Amino acid sequence: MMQRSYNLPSCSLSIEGISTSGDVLSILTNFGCRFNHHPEQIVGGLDLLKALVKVVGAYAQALKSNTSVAIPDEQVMLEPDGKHLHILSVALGESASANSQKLQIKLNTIQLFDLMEGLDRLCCDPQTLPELKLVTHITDYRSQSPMTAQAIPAIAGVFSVAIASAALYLIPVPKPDPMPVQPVPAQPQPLPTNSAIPKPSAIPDSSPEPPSSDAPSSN
Amino acid sequence: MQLNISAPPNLDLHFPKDFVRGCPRSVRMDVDHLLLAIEALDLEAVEVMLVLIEQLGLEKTIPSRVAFWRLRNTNPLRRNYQRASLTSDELKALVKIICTIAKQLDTGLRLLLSTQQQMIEGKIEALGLQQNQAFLEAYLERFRSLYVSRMRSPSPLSTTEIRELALHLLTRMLLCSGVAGEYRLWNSLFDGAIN
Repeated sequence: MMQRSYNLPSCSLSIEGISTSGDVLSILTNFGCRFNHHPEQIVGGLDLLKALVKVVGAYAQALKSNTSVAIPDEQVMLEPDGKHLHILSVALGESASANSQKLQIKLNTIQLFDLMEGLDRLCCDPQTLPELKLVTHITDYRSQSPMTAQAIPAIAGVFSVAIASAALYLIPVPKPDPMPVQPVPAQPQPLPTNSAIPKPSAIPDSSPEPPSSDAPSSN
Repeated sequence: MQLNISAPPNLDLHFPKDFVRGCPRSVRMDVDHLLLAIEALDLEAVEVMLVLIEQLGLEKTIPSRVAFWRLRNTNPLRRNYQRASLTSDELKALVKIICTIAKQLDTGLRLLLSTQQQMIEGKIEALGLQQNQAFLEAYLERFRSLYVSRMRSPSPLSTTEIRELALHLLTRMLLCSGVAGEYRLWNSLFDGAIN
């Protein structure tokens, strides 16, 4: 019989089990999790412990991303209560339906962190239940909203584009205005007229003048 | 019996597969905000961070104070944003620094968070903990002034939003101060990020 305990300021987790080889506790007989502010202890077997690891891990991860979501599981459920409290509900007992006892504990963020940290230490401890793994992914819980709810915005988008394009199809394409015919000056101005002007800054102004003076004459 | 708790073995940090275009904007912002919160908690934290870089063996990634400053300026909201991004190694180094310091600041974080809780419940007067409330207010004020002075102006967030951010960062930092903090922080950075 071996015992391991993980103690944090507001929560203590104790693991009891049998070892099959050396120092490694590999078979869990039972575990207990006690909060300082709550008289009742969470007691259970491997299934409950696994559910706890899963739910608490995912919930803490969601809390970090500032999106608090309720993480339900068969036996364990964590949900936000207001902005700073979290309700942990655990169904104690073997079967969920028959003589199961529901335990509800209100946790604040620090107590939740202590619970997460205790479970994390257990998961990271190579000498206790090595098959327990950290849970850091919440995508499984994110995509719980039904497929139709996710598809509605996409379908609405496609339809609005279709309607808009149909409406725009009815509008005639504007025809380009006929370009006014620009007559080409028959003869380029002789250079000497430009050089005859004394100021060099006036040169750009002088060049457009000749075609405009020619235009009325050709029309 | 002495427990031998080490960092989880095969937990290597790498960009998720879909992030082919490098470090997303939101990740760079988050990391810089966390560093800013650490600075607001302890004004000498930058010096501690520079010492930590040596202790953690990160000199290769962050060779100097200026290099560190450059990494922090990859936050697109920064006044001195250089349009640079973070490589996987650089992000890993910053995550390591944040988590190591968060572990050291654990007690302070607990104090500030429980004070916040007591303020919400209106227990401060009854418990006579006005001093703790002053600590929390001082942190919030330091964070605000650091934020306003470092980020581009006009400030991207209003004063209330900065306060909310500062409080959220406290929770976030507490959650990454644990034994698997680096892994948890890394995953939370990429959760919901857009490539």
